[in-house]
Amino acid sequence: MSTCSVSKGCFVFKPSAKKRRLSQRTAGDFGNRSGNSEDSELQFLTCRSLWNQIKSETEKIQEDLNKQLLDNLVSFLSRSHSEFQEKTTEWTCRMKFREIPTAALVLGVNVTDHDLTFRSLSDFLQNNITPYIALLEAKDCPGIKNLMQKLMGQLMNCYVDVDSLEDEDCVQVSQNRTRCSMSSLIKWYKSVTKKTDSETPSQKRTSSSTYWQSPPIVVIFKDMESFTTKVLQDFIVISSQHIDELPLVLIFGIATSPMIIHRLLPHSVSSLLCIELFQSLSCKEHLSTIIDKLLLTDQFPFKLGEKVLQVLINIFLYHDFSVQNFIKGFQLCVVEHFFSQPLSVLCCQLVDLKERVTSLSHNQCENIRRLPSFRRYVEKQESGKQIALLTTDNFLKEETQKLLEDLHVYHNNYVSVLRCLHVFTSSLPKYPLGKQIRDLHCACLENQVWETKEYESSLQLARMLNKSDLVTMLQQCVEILLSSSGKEFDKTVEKLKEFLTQFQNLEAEAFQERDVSISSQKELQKKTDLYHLQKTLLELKESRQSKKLTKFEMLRFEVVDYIDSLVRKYLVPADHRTLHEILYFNTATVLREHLNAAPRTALHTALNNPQWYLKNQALKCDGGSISNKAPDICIVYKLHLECGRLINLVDWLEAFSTVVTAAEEPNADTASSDQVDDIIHARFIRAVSELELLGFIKPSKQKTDHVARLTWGGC
Amino acid sequence: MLGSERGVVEEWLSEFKALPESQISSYAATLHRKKPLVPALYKVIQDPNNELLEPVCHQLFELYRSSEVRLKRFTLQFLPELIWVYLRLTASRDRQSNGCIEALLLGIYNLEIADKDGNNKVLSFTIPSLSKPSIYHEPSTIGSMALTEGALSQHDLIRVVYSDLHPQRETFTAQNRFEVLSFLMLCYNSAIVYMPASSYQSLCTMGSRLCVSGFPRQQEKRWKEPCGRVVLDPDFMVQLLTGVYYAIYNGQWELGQEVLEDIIYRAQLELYSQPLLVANAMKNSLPFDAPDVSQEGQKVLKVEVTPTVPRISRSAITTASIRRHRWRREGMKARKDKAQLSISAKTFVKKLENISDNKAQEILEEKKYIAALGICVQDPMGNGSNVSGGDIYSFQTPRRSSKMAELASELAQTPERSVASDHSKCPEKTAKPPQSSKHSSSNKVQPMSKKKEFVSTTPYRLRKRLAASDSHLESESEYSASCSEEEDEEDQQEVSTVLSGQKTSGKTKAASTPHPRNSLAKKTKEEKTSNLAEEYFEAHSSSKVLTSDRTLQKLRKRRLSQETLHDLLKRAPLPYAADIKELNQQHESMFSKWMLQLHLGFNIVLYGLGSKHDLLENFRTSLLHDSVHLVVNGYFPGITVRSILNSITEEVLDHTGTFRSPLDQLEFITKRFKEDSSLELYVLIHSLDSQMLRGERSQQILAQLSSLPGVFLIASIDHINAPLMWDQAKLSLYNWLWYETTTFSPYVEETSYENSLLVKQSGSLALSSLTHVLHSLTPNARGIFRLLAQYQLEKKDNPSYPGLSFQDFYQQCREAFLVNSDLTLRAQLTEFRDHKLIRTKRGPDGVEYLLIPVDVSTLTDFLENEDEDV
Repeated sequence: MSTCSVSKGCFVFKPSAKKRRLSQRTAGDFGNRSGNSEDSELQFLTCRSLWNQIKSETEKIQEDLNKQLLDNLVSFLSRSHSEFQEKTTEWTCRMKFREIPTAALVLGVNVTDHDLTFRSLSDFLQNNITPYIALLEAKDCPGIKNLMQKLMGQLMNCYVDVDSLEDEDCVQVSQNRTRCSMSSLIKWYKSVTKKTDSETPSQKRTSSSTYWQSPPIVVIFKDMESFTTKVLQDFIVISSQHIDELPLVLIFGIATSPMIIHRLLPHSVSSLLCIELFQSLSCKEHLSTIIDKLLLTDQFPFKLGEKVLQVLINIFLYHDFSVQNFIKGFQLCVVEHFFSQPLSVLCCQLVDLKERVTSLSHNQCENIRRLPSFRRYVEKQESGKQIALLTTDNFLKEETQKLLEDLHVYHNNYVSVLRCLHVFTSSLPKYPLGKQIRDLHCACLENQVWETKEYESSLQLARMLNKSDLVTMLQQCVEILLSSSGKEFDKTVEKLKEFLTQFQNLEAEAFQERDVSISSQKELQKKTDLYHLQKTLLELKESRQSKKLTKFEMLRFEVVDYIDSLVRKYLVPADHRTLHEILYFNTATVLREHLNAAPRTALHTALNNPQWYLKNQALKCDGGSISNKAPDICIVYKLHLECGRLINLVDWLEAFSTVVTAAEEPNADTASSDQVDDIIHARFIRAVSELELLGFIKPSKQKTDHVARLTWGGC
Repeated sequence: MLGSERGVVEEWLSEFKALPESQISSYAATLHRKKPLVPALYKVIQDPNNELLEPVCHQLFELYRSSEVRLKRFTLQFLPELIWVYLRLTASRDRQSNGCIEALLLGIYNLEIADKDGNNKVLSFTIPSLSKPSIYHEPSTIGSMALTEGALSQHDLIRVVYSDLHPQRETFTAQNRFEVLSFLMLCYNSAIVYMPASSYQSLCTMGSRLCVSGFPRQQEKRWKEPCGRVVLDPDFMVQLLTGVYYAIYNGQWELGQEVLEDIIYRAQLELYSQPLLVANAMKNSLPFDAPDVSQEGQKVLKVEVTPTVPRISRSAITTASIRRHRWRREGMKARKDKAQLSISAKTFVKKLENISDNKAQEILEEKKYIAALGICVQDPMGNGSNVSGGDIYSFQTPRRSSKMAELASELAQTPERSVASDHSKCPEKTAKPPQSSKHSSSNKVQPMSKKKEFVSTTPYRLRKRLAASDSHLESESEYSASCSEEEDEEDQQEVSTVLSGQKTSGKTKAASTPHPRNSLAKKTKEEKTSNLAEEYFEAHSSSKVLTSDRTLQKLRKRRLSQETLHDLLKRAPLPYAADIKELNQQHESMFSKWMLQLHLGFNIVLYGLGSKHDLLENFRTSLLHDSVHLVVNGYFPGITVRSILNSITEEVLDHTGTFRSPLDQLEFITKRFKEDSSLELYVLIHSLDSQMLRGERSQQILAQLSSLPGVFLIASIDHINAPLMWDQAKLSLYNWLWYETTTFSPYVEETSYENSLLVKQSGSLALSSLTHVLHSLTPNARGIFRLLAQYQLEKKDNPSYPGLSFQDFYQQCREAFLVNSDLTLRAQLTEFRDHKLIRTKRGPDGVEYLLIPVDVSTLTDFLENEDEDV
């Protein structure tokens, strides 16, 4: 069946054959790629289980992050209508009730991440406070009537969820859509609460017992900024009329700043609200937590290489601020790694490693031998071992297992030392190695960090730290190292503890140093002559340089040197390690291509420089311009770049035919006629209409037979 | 209606006509003493079929128009009743019988919007500022100045409420109906103190009837007149409430409360916040029992709560309001002055045009004008120069500056020179293509640039223009012939160089012209990259276009039809087929990866130059043959989101039902896919960025569709700005993975739908549909259509042809014995309309115009075909 038709644009194909299961299909896709299909099943399973682990982990992290916010909100909600519960009729109370309790939730600009927050919020509220929650989005509510319709629909649905027994009357209400009004909402609310009131003695459902007698109705405006002001105003004004009958609570999701409320609502309306502000965690902190929990941990065997991480962080910082997208990118990395790296079977937990290594096929062994890092490793070995590694599969397997285990250990140590180093660098002025641990991480992965200038300067700065800071840092490092799972750090911890005790012993000797400084001070105060002052200062400086260091200073040097040695030992970049290709994913180009594509650039390259894609000798030409043998569309494009706002089609056509005839038949005399060849004309038409489709030109009515150019600066 | 009442009314009607001018005021004084008159008039108004209605309305309008204010009020007291009757009749669609009432209401409105001088009235009210003394308070007594004016103005408490300018209305339409009625109610409210009790009563009944008619609450009412729902406007309801508020405290306690309840009921149903707010405030402030109304004639309450009453604006004059008033008047004055200025400028332009005809000897005179009007000259010059190039030339130079006079002799040579260059240029132009191609034959690499120099004149014009000062750009006629424009350009070039101070002689310049031009062009090209933005604005600054005026008409075969184009292209071999094939194979090796990533929850979008249709087709045939999938041709001109959703619900989900909106449909699909996790659907969309699908709503729906767990979307985009369709929210729904698939294959399918440039709009599709439909109709119907088509063809030269008015058409059809009544004609037209053969639209005067929505050539073809058939 063809999908070309002049009468129809949609074609459905329904095969009669029984569909296969999804997972099998996916495993098949894994195997479909060229070569190395034996482990695809296993590879796929590993990939899936790993991703599922990561996913659940991220979800847990996000839940934890939101917990504080949710707790605050819940306490706000329970406070907001406490008077309503008591059913006070006092006049002042009633006046106060004219104000609708409102929570303004400042969530940050990454609007797409909010969905998750709101979902967890509504779940949380549903479990703890009230069954009556309505989530409204601006795109569903162009008018006040749509808003009420949506609101009532959602509220009555949750009523159905809670009590699925007798709901004829409310179904009737929701069917009669034109009759959505506050009074019907109140009627519904009264009937619902009465029912639960009467039921409370004979408690059947445990869920409703957690609610109060008259639970508040929570209306969440997901994206407050995009609501029409009129709709919001009307809704607030109308509902404030009924606030004494209907315990309403509003929650505004705000992306920008709380000021937006006052900008959207005039004073007369915002005075009807009793607003409390809640701030969610900023997305940068969110990301830090994610990186901390996903990357700087030994929980997952899969790791990101430096370039890839840099790309992901750049997309986050410069494009969207969206943690969701970061995780999506991470997912793509996982998939890509397992798809493209045949040895990724070995990218598993340590427990499974032995079994997998021993079951490697000969092909896979060859794959290992082909790894560049392994080749480098082999070259360093003595010749006997070299031969064994290159010829004996079993020996190779043993070696591989050992190396991989080493790699895991390396990573553990790396993370711990990285954290220690971060403790030091994050308190230095101007943060030469970056403020966040992710910056440090990238720097360490990129190359040997101790060779960089930044590291040099940060060590210099660290040598000037004062004692109390140094002590607290050392204590933090001890804690970090103790909590790490690596066993190598016993000695290090001892050493650090020793430093700490030495610092304590220094207390006594501090006086002496003070004396010295005081004496020099006195000397300075004596002479007021500028020349002499300068002279003494110079002398002082010299004396200080030549002077024997104090004990504290020596100790400080010692500490810094020790840290330096730790860094040199443990923070070796991952791609210096053998077999890092198995665990580390480092093809950043793929990631950038798929997540952060530049369609305009691609089009531009194709039009300007067709030999980039078409590897044909004929297209080669010097000077960066295109040859006259390029595809028609390229020539037409090139010609149109020469024009102003409007392009005369006749001129264009002539220019085109000149170029094309020159290219095709160098010495033909068809050109003697003024008219253009039919085929060339047709080709021109095709090229022009293609340019139109691509959005470079559009027909113009300004002048006959002219088209308007739509791009500027395309050359 | 009783005879006596009729008599009273008739007497009243005749009485006023006989009244001399001098006795009007005494008549007005006695009018309210005629007790039986008012009830009789109410009866007349309530009965739309009464033959007295029209004279009564006319008489009421006469009274209103008279200078006597008491007569005005006499008319105003019937206003609530009139509005009720009018709205009831409008709601019942019995438009014919309310003509005179409509006219009366409009008459009153049009009288009221203007003041005595005929200017538009602006009703304004300033809330007195607490910090400024007024007749109500002394600021020093307030004490703390926490409530400063600045602080108050932040809370917009000080605001001048203008009843904004009301335009004059000729007819009632659905849009302006309530604007007019609200204004009328405002007039009524401003005179409400003088109204008799009967008017309050009628106001209250009007209010409750308007609010309740057609709603269940009507059953509770005593009156049972059947009436449909009346549409109401919140502003009108607020005005109504203002009147009702007064009525409640002045004798209509019970009725007033009832109408208040009714208004609240209606406002709640309609979700009108403003009337709700006002009505609830009124309700909550009501005392427990009726105020004492025993003293007849004493008005208990003055309406001062509503800011819209103009009486208050008169009474509450504060310094601020005075200042504002003065300011406004001054502003008006200034505006008038400006208008006068512009008028004088216009007359000046006219004069200038005359001058330009009379040529140079009047230049001195003209200079005087320039001196007199100073700065104004520059602009009108540009507008006024609707003259030929030569005139502009001789005209402009002396104007530019007086010291340029010495150059006049030099410039006088230019006409000759330009003529000469003219001659040399024109043949050269025709001979250009052969020349350049011959040239290129000798040197293969060069032809591109060579040709550019000769043929594509456009860029040089642009560049030249960039170099030239833009003062004379607009002075060029748009449709001058190519050569004359050339010459024109040349002259201007000259002028600009002369102006820029190069005082070389004309001859040397004429000789050296080509070189400076080229160097100029080169220089601009160098600069080009540096200031693209400037260039952009430069190019878009004027509406003038500097391109040659050649049209396709000069070519032998200007437009090809779709078929011939297709055939021709088939004959032309596709260059680099091998390379393209290799490229495609590269892309095809990704298929399994796409499959995998689709399954993992990503969606795939393909971009890059070249049609991706075949690639996707290959993907479909090779991998999707045993799964359910949907192919959408986005480039299909008739594609809509609705049709996509329909094919999913109907063909994939086997659902036979209709949906109210695409959103409902989407909801249904979502539900089905969430319920049944085994459901899988692959969606392939060619050209997701096509005209029909690029709208915000369509993209939103497609994005939501693609985010469903069982739906796998793979789409292609072509337009350079396609990614702009998606904001963050949509992007996250789509969850794209981008793949660059540059194929270099021609967009055959995508450009095949007769919408591309240069392709002859053969209209064969429209034509065949026309003939098919018409063949199924009766001969008479065909005749009717022919008539319309012929008429339209006759008028084809008139670009603003609105269509044939129905009445004229009916007349013509009758004359041709095609129909015998306008009903038959309407029936036929409905048939046409159903088949989309004609389109009707209403003109500005409310007349229905008929139009056949096909282009002229198709229509001509159609008529020819018809003739053959007959």
